[in-house]
Amino acid sequence: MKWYLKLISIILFFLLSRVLQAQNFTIHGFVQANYSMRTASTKGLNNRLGNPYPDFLLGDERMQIEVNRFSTVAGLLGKVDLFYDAVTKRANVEIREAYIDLYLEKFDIRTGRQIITWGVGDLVFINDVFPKDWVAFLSGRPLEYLKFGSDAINVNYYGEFISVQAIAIPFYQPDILPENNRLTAYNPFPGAKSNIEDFPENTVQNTQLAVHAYRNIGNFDVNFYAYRGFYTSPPGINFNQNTGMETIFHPRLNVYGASTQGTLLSGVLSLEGGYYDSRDDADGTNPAIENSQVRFLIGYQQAFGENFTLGLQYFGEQIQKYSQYVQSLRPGFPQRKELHHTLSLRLTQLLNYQTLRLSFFTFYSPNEKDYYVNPEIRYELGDGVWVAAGGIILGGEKVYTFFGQFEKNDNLYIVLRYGF
Amino acid sequence: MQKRKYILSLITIFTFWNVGISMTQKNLSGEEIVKESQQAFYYAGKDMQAKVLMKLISKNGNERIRELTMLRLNDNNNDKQKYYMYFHQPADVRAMTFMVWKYTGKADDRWLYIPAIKLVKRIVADDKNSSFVGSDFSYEDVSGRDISDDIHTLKKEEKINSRNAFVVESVPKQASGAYFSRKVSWIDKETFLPLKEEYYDKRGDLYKTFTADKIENIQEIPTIMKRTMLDTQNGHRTEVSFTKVKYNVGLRDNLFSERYLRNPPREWIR
Repeated sequence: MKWYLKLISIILFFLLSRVLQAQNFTIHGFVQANYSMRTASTKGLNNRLGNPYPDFLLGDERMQIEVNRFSTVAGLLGKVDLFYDAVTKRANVEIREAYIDLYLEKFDIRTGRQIITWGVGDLVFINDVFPKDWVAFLSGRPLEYLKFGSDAINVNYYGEFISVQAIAIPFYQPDILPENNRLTAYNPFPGAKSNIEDFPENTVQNTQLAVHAYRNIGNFDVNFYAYRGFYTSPPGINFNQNTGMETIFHPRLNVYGASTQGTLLSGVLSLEGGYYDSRDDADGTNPAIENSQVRFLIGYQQAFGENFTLGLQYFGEQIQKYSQYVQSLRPGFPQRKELHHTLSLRLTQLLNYQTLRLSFFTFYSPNEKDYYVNPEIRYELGDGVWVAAGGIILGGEKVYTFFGQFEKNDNLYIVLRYGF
Repeated sequence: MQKRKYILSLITIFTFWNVGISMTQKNLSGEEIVKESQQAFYYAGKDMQAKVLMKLISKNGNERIRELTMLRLNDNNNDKQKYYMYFHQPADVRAMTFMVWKYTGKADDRWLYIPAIKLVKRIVADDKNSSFVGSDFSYEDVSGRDISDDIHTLKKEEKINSRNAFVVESVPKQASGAYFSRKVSWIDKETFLPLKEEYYDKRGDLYKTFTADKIENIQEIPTIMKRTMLDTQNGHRTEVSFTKVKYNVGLRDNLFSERYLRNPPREWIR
C-alpha cells in the first residue's frame, strides 16, 4: 500500500469509529506484539524455498478492532486484525469474525464468519473438526489463535428436553499446517520438486454439515455430535515419481461422537469419543488417505489449595482396518501403531491476586516417545495489560512422529498485549 | 379501680417484656443466627439483579477493577441457587460470562464462557480457598459457606456502629475444610446482615476483615451496597459496590443455561 492510502485508511478508521460510537456501537480491541525465537539449530537445512530456516518464527505486531452491537432481537460483531509480519515483511488484514445474530423465542441464528469450538478435550480435538492454526500453536502465539473462523450458518434450537445446533459451512477451510518454510516438519516425499493442492469445490454438495445435540443429565453436560465433510487435517498426499509432482488433497470425512463433562468428587471429569469414518478409504487400502479411526479421551481436573489446578488427560487413537493399513503402506514409510496413546498434564498456579500465572502444559506419547512441552509465565501489569513469556520444546525419538518431526522448532516466545 | 389499673399495667409490662424477648431474645443459637444471616445476606428476595464494581487495591494504592452484572435466582426451598455473571471490564475479561449452580452439601457446578474462542467449559475451583477473580473475596465469601461446615457459638451481644449485634464465633469442624481457624461475626440483631467479620488464620492471627460499609433498603430489603474485605496482613483490600440492585425481577430458570452463557441476555445485563 502507498503511504497516502495507509494514511487515508487510518483517518477513515478513526472517523468511522466516532460515527459508530455515536450509534451505540461498542468498540474494543488490543494492540499486541508477539515474537518468537527459534532455539534449536537448523544449520545446514534449507526450507522449501531453498533458503535457510529463519531464526525468528514470529515477528508479529497487530491491532485487533472489535465492533459490536447487541440488542434483545439481534446482534452483530466484527473483529478484524491488522498486522505486520516482520519475518516476511508483509502487512495484512485478517477478518477474525464477522457475523450477524438473530435471537428468536426458541432459536438463535448466527450467520457469517465465526469461530466454532466443540468438545471437552484440553488441546485435544475429537469432535471439533473446525479449522485450526497449528502453526500458531507451535510457534507461541496466544491460544485463541489456534482457532480461526468458519464461514457458516449456525442455527441453534433450545428445547425443554434437548438443545440442537446445526451448522452448514459452504466454504471449505483446511487447518493451517507447517509448510516447511518457517517451521521444519517431516517431509514424506523429499524428492518432490513441486506441489499442487486440490481443494474441494465450493458446491452445494460439498457443504460441510455439523450437528450437535446436548442437554444436562444430573451433574453432567452431555453432547452428541455428527459431522459430514472433509478432513481439515491431515491432508491426503499423492506423489508422482516420474514428474516429481506432489498432489495434496482433502479426503471426505464423517465423524460421529459424544462427550460429557461434569463435577466428580471435587474436580471436573471430561470424556469424549468419536468415530472417524474415512469415506474415501472405507476399506483402508489407500495409503494416501487416513484409515478410519476411533478416538477417545478422558480428562480430570482438580483445584488444590489456593489458586493451584492440575489437569490430567489421556488421548487414544485407534486405526481401523489395521492389517489393510499395514499391507498397503508405501515402501519405506514408517508404520504407525494400531493404538496411539498421548498423555497430557497441565499445572497452573495463580499468584499475587491472580496477576501472576505460572503454567506448564505437556503432551507425551508413551508409544511414540515424543513430546510437546510449554512452560509459560504471564504477568498482568494493570487492567488489560499483560505480558507473557514462555517456551515450546518439541521432540522425540523419531523424526516422523507427530511431535518428533517438529524438534527443530523449539522456541522462546513473548507476547505483550494492551487491551481496550 | 385502682387495683384494675395496676393489673392492666402489669399485663402491659408483661406483654411488652414477652414480645421483647420473642423479638430479640428468642434464645437463638449461634447456628440459628448464622442461618438467618445467610438468608438475609445471600438469599434475599426470590431473585436479584445488580451491577457490581470491585476495586482491587494494593497496599501502595494500585487499583484494578472488575465490573460485572450479577443475576441470582433462588430455588423454591432455597437449597439451590443459580448465579450468572457477565463481565464488563477490564478488557481481558470483557464479555466473559460465568455461571454457578450452587448446592448445599456438595460441590457446585461452574461454567465459564470464553468469547475469543466461543468455548463453554467447566471450571474447577476450591471454594474454600480460591480467590474470586483475583480479589480478597473467596468463592465462598461471594456465595456463602455451608452452615454445617462450622460450629457456631453465640459469644455475646454488643453495639457496633450504633447497631445492636450478635457476636458469633464460627470454628470449622475440620481444620482442613477452611482457610481460617476461627471467624468472628457481628450480625445485626434486626436485619441479620453481617456488619463485620474477622478471619483468623491457623496461627490464630487476624488476617482478613470484612466490613459492611453501606446498607440501604431496596424494595424494603436491607441490602449491603458497599462492602470491603481487607487483608490485614499485607494491606491489600477489595472494595465492592453494588448499584442498580433490584429484587424479584422475574428471572426465568432457563436464563441460567449454556444458551445465555454464549449469548448474554441483553435485557438483563445492561
